[in-house]
Amino acid sequence: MIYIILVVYLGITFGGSLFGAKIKEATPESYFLANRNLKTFALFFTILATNFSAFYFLGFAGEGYRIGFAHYIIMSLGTALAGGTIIIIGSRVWQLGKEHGYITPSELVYGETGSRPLAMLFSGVMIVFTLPYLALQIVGGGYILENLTDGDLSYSLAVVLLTVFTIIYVIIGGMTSVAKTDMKQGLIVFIFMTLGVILIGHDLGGITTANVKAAELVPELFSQNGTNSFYSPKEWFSWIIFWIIAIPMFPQLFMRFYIAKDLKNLRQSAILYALAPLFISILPVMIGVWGHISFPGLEGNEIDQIMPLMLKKHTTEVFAAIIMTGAIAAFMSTLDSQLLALSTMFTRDFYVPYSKKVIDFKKEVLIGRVIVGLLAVFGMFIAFNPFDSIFDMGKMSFSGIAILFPIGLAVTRFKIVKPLFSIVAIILAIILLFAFHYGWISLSWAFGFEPFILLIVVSFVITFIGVRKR
Amino acid sequence: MQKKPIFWIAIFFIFLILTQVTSFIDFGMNTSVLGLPNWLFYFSAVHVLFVVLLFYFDQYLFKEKEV
Repeated sequence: MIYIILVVYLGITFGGSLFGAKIKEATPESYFLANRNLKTFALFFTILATNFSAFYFLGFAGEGYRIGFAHYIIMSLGTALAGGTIIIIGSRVWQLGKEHGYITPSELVYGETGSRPLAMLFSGVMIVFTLPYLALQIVGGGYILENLTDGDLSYSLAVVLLTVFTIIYVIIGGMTSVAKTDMKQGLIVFIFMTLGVILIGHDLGGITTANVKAAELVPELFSQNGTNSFYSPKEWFSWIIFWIIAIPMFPQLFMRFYIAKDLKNLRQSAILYALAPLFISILPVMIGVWGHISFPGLEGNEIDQIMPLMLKKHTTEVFAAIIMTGAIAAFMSTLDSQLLALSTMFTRDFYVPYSKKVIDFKKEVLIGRVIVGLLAVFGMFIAFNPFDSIFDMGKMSFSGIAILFPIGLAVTRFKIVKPLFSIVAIILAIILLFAFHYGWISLSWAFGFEPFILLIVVSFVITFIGVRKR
Repeated sequence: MQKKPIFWIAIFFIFLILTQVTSFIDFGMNTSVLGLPNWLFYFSAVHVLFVVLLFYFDQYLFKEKEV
């Protein structure tokens, strides 16, 4: 039964979106940017589905289990605030993309600053720090598929199958199919997660009873600072600020700013994007909190499995299979967007400008497709041996990407940017990131805030020393 | 009357303070609707307020451009 659900669900979601894909007639604009033709709702759902991934399904539930409801506020409010930066930066990215035909973030940086080294560094940092996030989708998919099949498919085999499936899909479909899938996925994830909360809550005696039980077991899950005061005031400040800055810099999201049909569509999508987390972020967090009732005492990476564990224990086998397949499809809809964004950047930022031969559109798309495969395989190898929990892999990835925000803001809104300052800002912030991560610098240097706040401040100050308003 | 950028900077600064009240107020762990903690509803209201502000900010930002 489970295998039938898997095949039917993935077939309808992904196969349906491939309908009409024109593999031979693709141009870079159509393959990479869906001809810049997405209207408000399609754009909103593709932004939402791209952003809500394994990190949402497994990571939010895991953090709900570990920290409590405080995590919901951090994620919903932080994500909502990013709607503001999408309007401020995204609108200019769309305008500049339309005027100059930019396809990648780096092309915009090069076009507006004239600095190839800065553009390449910008692109390189985006690619390198997106790779752990990309691998994280494969890890999440592997966990769920193994769980869904009760171990019939081992984690490693699950990882390989998901990777191969996604490669084939992205290679054939390009951005148009990816966006179509995202729209379906955005809707499906929301509907099934809501049903999941209702069914699990019902099995635990009702939503109110479940919350009361959880509060009796671990009262701190209901405190404003979370368990063990996880979100101290400085931590709280750090995380609220962090999402505003990191989210618009994800390459798969940045490139979505280009694909709006017009500016109004992008602005409306940003406002919907700000509203949506109020409803959808609480769902996995609540299931994670309730996890203490059914699975007390989980530790380490086991906590990342709380969502599938709860679904299997408290819902029917068929429903658990449907929602977990939905989760796999959600991971894949993020993974496909990342693969497409990174392959586009590799091709156009590093290969095309330095190729000695003139590269026609067909060859460019072909190279993009080859790189999709290579990147997916690279992500698969990281997924075989994940270096951290889902949340911490994400944190490392997002911190590196957030460093680019001041440059993105300066280039899109202030125009005259001295590239040398931006280059120094990026390099210094990356050195600091690794220094904090590997303990070369004591955390006390961050004055109680998350270290990424210090990195962002450094990047801001140095970048804006080199900015002149035109 | 057309609002100036400083108006919106002040508005969003006040809003940022509203998101940081955990630094000065302890809401406790009392629960209400659906057994959810009371402070969660405060932040939900702040969230909705932000969406409303964002809507008007967006109107301001792009009206300026059109003028």
